[in-house]
Amino acid sequence: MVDNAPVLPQRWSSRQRQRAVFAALIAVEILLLVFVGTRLVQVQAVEDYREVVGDQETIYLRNEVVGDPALVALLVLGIALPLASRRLRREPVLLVAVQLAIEALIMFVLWPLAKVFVEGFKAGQFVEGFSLVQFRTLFQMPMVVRATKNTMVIGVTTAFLSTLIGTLVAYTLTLTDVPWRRWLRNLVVLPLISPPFAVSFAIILLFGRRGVITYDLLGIKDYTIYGPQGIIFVQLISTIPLSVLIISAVFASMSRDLEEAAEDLGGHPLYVLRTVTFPLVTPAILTSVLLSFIGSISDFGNPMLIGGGYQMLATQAFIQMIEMFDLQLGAALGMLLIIPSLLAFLLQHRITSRRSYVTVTGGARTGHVRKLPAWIKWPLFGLCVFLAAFNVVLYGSIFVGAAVKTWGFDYTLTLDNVRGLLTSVPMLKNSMIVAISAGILGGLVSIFLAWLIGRQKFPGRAALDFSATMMQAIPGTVVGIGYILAYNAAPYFWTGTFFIIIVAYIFRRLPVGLRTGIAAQKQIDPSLEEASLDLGASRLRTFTHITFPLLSRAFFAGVIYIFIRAMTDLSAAVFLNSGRTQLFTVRMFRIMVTSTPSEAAAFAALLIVIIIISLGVLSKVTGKSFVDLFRI
Amino acid sequence: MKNFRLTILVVGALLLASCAAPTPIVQTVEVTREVEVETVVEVPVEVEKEVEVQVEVTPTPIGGELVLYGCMFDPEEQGVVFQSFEDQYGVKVTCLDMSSGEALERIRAESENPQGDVLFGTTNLSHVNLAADGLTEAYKGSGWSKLPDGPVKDPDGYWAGFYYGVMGFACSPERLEEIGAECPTSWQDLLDPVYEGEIVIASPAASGTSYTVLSGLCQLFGEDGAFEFWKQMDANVAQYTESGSAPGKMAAAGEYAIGISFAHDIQVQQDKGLPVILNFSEEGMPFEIGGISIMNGAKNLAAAQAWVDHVFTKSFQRYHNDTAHRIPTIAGVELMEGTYGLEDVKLIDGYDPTEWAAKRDDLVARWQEEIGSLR
Repeated sequence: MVDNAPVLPQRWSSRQRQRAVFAALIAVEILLLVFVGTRLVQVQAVEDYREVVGDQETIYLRNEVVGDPALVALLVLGIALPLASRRLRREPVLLVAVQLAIEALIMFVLWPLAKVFVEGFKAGQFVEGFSLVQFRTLFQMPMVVRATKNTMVIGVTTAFLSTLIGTLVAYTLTLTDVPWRRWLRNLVVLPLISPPFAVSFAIILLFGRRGVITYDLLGIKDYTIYGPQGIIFVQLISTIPLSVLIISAVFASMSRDLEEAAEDLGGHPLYVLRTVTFPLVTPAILTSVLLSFIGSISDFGNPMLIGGGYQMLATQAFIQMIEMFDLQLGAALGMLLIIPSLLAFLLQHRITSRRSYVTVTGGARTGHVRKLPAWIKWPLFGLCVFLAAFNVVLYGSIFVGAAVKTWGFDYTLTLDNVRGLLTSVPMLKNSMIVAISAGILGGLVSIFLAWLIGRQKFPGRAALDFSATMMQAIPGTVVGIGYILAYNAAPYFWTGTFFIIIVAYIFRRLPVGLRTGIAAQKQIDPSLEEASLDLGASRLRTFTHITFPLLSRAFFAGVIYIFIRAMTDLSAAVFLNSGRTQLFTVRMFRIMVTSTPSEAAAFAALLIVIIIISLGVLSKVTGKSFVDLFRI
Repeated sequence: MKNFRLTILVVGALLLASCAAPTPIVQTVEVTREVEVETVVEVPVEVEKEVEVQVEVTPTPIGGELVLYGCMFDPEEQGVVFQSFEDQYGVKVTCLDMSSGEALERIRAESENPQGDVLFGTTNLSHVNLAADGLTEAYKGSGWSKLPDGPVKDPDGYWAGFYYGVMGFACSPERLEEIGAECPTSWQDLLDPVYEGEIVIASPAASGTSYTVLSGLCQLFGEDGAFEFWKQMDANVAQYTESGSAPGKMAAAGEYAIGISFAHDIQVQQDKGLPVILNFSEEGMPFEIGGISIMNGAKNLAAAQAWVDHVFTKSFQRYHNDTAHRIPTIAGVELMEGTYGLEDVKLIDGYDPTEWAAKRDDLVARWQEEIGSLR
């Protein structure tokens, strides 16, 4: 393509120029690598042993490698492997992009996880090397077998229901003419703005054994929300908004042409819906299944609060690591958790990569309203209203709880709970710094990777995609431990810095922006980019002027998602924050565990208000309406 | 194209070279130096009998900062305590909330570059483990010397216990009324069928708090007796929670009739205005000891030592009891009315949590096999 491009008058032939650029690049890379390599691995003389003869003491020194030679070797491979591809050698920009992506993923995804695996395989603290003893013991424990089974039950049920409801809601709110769509859309995705464990907390206040609705209003006694039903319930509340966002992004950008063609050919609206509309959103649906499955099996906060002792892999991994001091068994359980996630990911990947889903073409028309028979339209509308109303009650109860003396007993209005928040201001500031940086950088990284993986062809693309998406499948606790294991020792000393938390959030929450970007890209006809290239624009210019504007929705999806998840994350935070970088959610969870519902509610309420304000600011800055930020 | 291949080859070779460079070479270098022979002169120090003076010795300002791990304080109280310490020593204190397991993992992971100075709070078992791994350093300060010998301190000074946490029964008066029962006053009471489905306790397999109960019962009834007891109690247990303080909170919220948690956590719920009754067993209650130790390689050693001494002053211990209700380990602290001291609670005779820590794996495995996995 590039070779055929008409070029401006020049002294060098295009091939010469290509080679010069290539040589310069290689030189810069070698310099960088030597610079980084010598910092990552150093040989130091350390004291080996001492010998005292008379009044003379001899100190024997020994050279010791500080740092990880294995990591440096991996990084070198990451630079060298893409050079083997002729296709990449011909396009320096693409080459550097691939190399950068590989290096970042090695540093911040593969290496920390490898460290967890090494730890998980260690049979005991004093045994060096690898052994399968831990895994054998693992499958002899009835708890492990049961936890694995329970985890699958919760994951599959949540993924199925969340995607089903999410698809119906997304369809109703994006493509039909039901009233109040703007408001419904905002309210349906409301749970995205709070930490997942706040949902459990509010559900127990409302529907628990002493819940305001179940006990006080309906008078139901001897019923319990604790258990698998409670877990599925709260997980659905957290995952449905995500499903709605992912699927409605595709509905919104879907061209009307295909459906019109089907209708013109005499297809019944329902038939068109089934055979044309839904197949077009397949990638988004599978993404929704994948993310809600992974989200529900890797969360530990909700099952801890509402599970009533129902054992799941994530909670058991958390307990083994945090309560039982058994890092090895915990890491091993974490590895078990990774397996179903990776299987789900592989399956989704296989299915979506087989077909083409182009719907945005040069002259596309999008966002037209579909006519549906009333008996379908109004029940769908009812579903959306129910979800919205439910969320209003749920979050309303948090605000009411924060404003009263003691939820459940004394409903006198008071400001005591709000005053209790003053001590948490520094932690709030820390959380904001982390979330804003991670959001913006993460949005850029995800859009960059989406372009690379979704659009470019190069060897090893699937592996890159796999590594980038993998992190979402890893429980936050495992991520936290992995980062500490990988980057606390010399020569890094990154723990206790904002840097490590920000990086962890970027790479842990990358997949949403990435998958939204790829899903959106699958619908953009490559001819748009090819036209730009053929007209002589460089690949970089094509990206900034054609691809990026088309992907901006996915970019904002990434920014908002990472920002919100960083503000509300608990599981990685407990490991990665430190004296000077203490985060708000860590304080909040502790308050929920040790204090009264009302004090905890004040924390949750403050966090929700801050996120809403931040979204408001973001909407001002970007010029998008508040609703558009949510619509993605 | 030939040129091109050559470039690739050279680049590859360079990369390989840069990769292969840092191989570990073991070599011995002889360094000789004069050893300064230190003569240690034992100066007989007159140990003054500690006289409790109303005004504690004016401390010398140290400055700098101090990072505490563990920290189980209410934020408001935390502010008060740290401010008074800062006023005295000029040290700015940061406290990182974490459970004992989190703290332990962090300290282990950060052992090459400690981020914290003091592990403050969490059960003494963490402190014992840390000392065994060489992650803490001994400090026999004024606090350590004040403590009686026995379960509350490490004989070598690696840790010192600054509070007792005693288990208690939390009862919801409303729920008790609904089922027509009284709040139990002994372990045997818990076997009464009237409490069926009304007892909440943490799982010993998930919570250190609940292991305290299991080991205490073993001390009380003998190991087999304790398991026999628990099997009978199991019929009344509604759920085994994963958090140690959840049972007390659930009883306080009126969700279940009885929750077994730490008494100080239950008292805190009472302070917040929740209607919850706190009872102790006549047979004796198990307890934990909250410890404090200084990390090996602490960056702010002087401040850390000052903090440890500060924790064992009467004023700190009194304030800690007033607000968090944990029982002081040093003698002669006057307690606020309505809070419990050692004289109000019967502890299980001869129970030492540190000794039981060694049996934890075995007992928890047995509990899992005989009770936990059958549910």
